[in-house]
This record gives sequence, C-alpha cells and structure tokens, in this order.
Amino acid sequence: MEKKKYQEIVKRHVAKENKKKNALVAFLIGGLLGAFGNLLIEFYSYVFDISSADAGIYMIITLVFMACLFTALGFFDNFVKFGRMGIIIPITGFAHSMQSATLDYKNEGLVLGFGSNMFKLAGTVILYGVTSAYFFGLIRLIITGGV
Amino acid sequence: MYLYSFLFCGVLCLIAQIILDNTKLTPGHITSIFVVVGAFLDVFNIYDKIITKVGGGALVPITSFGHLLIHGAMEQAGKSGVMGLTMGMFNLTASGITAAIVCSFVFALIFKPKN
Amino acid sequence: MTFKFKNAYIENTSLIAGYYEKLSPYAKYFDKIYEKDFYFKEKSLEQAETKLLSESIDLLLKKSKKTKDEIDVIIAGDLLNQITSSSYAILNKNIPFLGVYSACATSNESIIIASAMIDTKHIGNAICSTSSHNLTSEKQFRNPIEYGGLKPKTATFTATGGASILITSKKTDIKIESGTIGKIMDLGVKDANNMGAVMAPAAADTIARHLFDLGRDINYYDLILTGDLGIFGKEILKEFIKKDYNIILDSRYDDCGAMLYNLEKQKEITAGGSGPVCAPLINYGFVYQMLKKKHFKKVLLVTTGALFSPTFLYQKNNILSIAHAISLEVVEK
Repeated sequence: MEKKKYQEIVKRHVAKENKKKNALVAFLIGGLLGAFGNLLIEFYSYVFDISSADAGIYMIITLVFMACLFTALGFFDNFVKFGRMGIIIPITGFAHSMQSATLDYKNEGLVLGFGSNMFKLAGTVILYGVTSAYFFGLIRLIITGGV
Repeated sequence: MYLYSFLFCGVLCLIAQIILDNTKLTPGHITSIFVVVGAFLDVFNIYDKIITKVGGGALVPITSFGHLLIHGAMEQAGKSGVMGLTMGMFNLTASGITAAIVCSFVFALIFKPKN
Repeated sequence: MTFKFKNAYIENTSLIAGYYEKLSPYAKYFDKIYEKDFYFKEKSLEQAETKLLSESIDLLLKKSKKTKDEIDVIIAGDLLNQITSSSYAILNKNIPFLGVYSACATSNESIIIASAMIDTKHIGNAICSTSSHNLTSEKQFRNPIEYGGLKPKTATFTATGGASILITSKKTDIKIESGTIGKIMDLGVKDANNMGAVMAPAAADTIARHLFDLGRDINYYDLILTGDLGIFGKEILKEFIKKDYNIILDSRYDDCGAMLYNLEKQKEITAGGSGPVCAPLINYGFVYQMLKKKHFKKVLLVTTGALFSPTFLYQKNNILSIAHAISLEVVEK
C-alpha cells in the first residue's frame, strides 16, 4: 500500500483531542498566572518599598523558585499536564524544564549528570532568545544610528 | 491592571495552545518562537508600552524573557556602542537565569524523580 | 521466513510487574508486583529495571526447580541503550548470554532463536527474558521524568516489568509450534507518539506471511494477539490487513497493549501499554495458563517493535517497524 493511503487509514483511527477545552484551560490558567504575577509585583513594591521594575525581578525569581520546588517535589508535572500551555508559556515552564532535566541525572554525578543535562530543554529558549535579541538589536542600531 | 494581566497572559497561552493542538510544533518550538517575538516587539519599544499598560501579566510569560534580553542589550549599547549588545544581554535576565540554575541544582541534590 | 519447530516446549514462565500494572485485569497471572514506587529499593531507575529482569530469571529458576548450571543459554534484550539492563542483570547468573534487540518484539525474537537452537540440538534448554520500565524509557526516548510533557491520546504507555520463559527440548504440555521472522517495514510514519500506526503494517505483513508460508487460514488459530499496537493501532491493523492482504481479524483477535491496563480506571493511560515486557505480561501469564487449561488449543502471538532512535528521528527519518510471530499449541497426549 502506498504511504499516502496508509496515512488515510491512520487518520481514521485517532482519538479526537479536546481542542476547545484545551484552549480554554490554557487561557484560564495562563491568565491566572499573569494576574498572580501582577499581585506579586504589587506586594513586593508595597512591602519592600521598591520600584515596580525591581519588583518585577523579584516576581520572576519567585515564580522560578516555586516552579523548581514543585517540580522537585514531584507534583508539578501534574499541573503542567492539566494547565498545558497555560503553565509552559509563563516563566514557570522554563524553570520546570530546567529542574526536571537536572533531577533525572542525579545518579550520574555533578559534572557528567547535572552539568551536561541541566539545559537540555531550556537551551533552545536561551539560544534563540539571545541570538534574536542580538540581531534585532543590531538591526535597530543600524536603522536608528543610535538608541 | 489585574484584568489586563489576566487577559494578556491568558491570550498568549491560548494562542500557544491553539498552535500546539493544530500544528506539528512542539512546546519547545512554540516557546522559542514566543521568545523571539518578545525580543522583536522591543525593537520598536512596543513591549515597554505593553508592560506599562498591562503590568505583571506582561512580565510573566516567556515573551518577557526575550524582551528583557534585548532591553538589556540595547541599554548597554546606548552607553558602549555596538559591543554593548553583547555586554548588556544578560543584565536584566541575570536574576531569572541564576535563580533557575541555583534552584535546579540545590533541589536536584535533595530530591529525586518519582512519578 | 517461517520455521516449524519439532522439539521446543515451554517448561515455565515468570512475571514481575510494577505499580501501574497492579490494576491490570490480568494481574492475577503475575508472580510478583512491586506496588510502592519505581525504584524497588535501588539507587537509580536503570538499576531498578535491571532488578526486574534479574529477579524474573531467579523466580523462573525457582519455579522450574532448576539451578543456574542447568541452563544452557540466556537470550535477552530490553529498551535501554546497548541493552544494559539485560547485561547487568545476567552478570551474576554465570550463564552464556546472547543479547538481542527488536524493541517491543524482543520477546518473540528471543524465543524463535532459542527454539531454533534447541531443534538443531545445539542446546537442551534456554531462558528468554526481557524487561522494560516506564521511567527509564521516558528518560531515554522522550522527556525528563518530572517534565509534564504534553502527549496526544494515541501515545502508548511503557509497561514496567520483567518477564522470563524457559524453553526446553524435554516434552511438556505446551509446544512452540512455529516461528516467523519479520521484515522491516516503513509506511512513512514519523510520529513517535503514535506507535500503533508505526507498527501495524509490520504485524500485518508477518501475519500474512506466516499464514502463507504454512498454508494456513487465519481460522486455524483460536486466539491471535499482537504485542503493543494499543487501542488505536488495533483498529488500524484490522482495516489495513483486510485491505492489503484480504485477512479478516474477528473477535479472536486482540492486542496485549489494549488488554494490559484497566483503561476505565487508569485514565492517564490513553492508548494502552507498550514496551518489550507488555506482550509477555499477557502471553506468559494469561495465555500460557489458558493453554494449560486447554481453554485455547492453538494461538498465534505476534510481537511488534518500533525500530528507531531519537537521533534518527530528529534527522527526519521515518520510524521503522518489525514484527516476529510464534505459534503455541497444546500437545495432545
């Protein structure tokens, strides 16, 4: 049988993903995380009497800390499976990918285990973030001749 | 502000979920695209304006990571010219990345994966 | 390539399973279940998988009342890179070892090789073993264990367990009647999350060639089982084998992956089980006991394997598949 005809058979026997429910859940969970981030910023600005820019940094650190801790404790993967992109797109997704990759290699030592594998999943984000930031920055400098 | 935070972050996640469910792109691909978009939006200072309007909700998603990268790079470029791009790249994102590295390391020493 | 075996019999089997397999409708045919966690008191998950394989061999020796010195050869394989689970498990057994690999078709591959060697009188008996572990295969093939990777519903769930079978030239009540060695198939599937679709063509081809080589009709068998196509792969096979080979698989056909778990209760398992130990968990337990009770007389067991590696997959290659078949028959006195 040709590959094309086989693909047609395969497509007929696939479970339908519940796309609408997924989208709704991602929207709600992502939104809640966004609102929570805002809450943290207002909290830190008020309690520590700092600018909202600094509070923003504290907020990111808090979310990273929580995502790492919950991943290490073992239940964050269930949250991610439920919240889907609602948890992966916020900075929690980045922290979760680093923590889970590191956890796996406990038995292979600090250098060959942790060191080689911590950025297994997060590396892509850092690579493309930095590279695109650099080239966009360069283009902007060339266009505007300054900042 | 809370409402805008909720809506902005929510809509970004919604778009990401729709892309995930309807294309062959993986979460890794999608987060990378969003980082690049975040960096791009700051080329014309659009992301700064979004942050002022939306508040925390604009700093939570991974797009803010892209924004912070280019923002730090551009700030330093203002002081040191083109080389400033490389010098300032991690200025603003330093704390996020450091927190992730240190937390990942310490927690991985203490805990182990289960299911 | 089909062989009819003259002198290969099953003496005994042993099955050890893990946490998720506890709720299986066929759990009563398992010899031992590790209920608590995935480490089984070992330091690493890979060592836990090694323990499963090692213990299943020890358990089989105990059940058959044999010592290690009475076994001529062990043939084993698993999913870990370089089949290290098997190698490290068999280290202290002091028995000559042949390592084999065909992913989830490893169990039948080992049985075919053992039966052929027994038939040619090179050996008198052999133990065939395999193991798989859900977390070690997630770590090796997919994402980190604690990563909440989003999987589509067609993704099958790697079973955790160790399985061993003792094949002998001494006559018993169940014989290994024939074996068919499969050919590698490729129908253009690149989706590692839909292994049923990857492997169905291999199962179809092997079943068809088995029947053709022996001049048999599908109705010759009381029961036909495929290894781990899962609930979706099972339907794909039924349609594909009818269209391409004009063979109809009716109610006598089922799939070990679709049978292994209680899909009603275990909602996190969406498509069924997979892994080298998935088929043995049904074949060496339920099917073997049913044959002993003469509930079935002639069964055809087809194990299917997906041959690939993440490297080849990322280099945009298709995922290949293979299926090996054995037929078991009750010996009429």
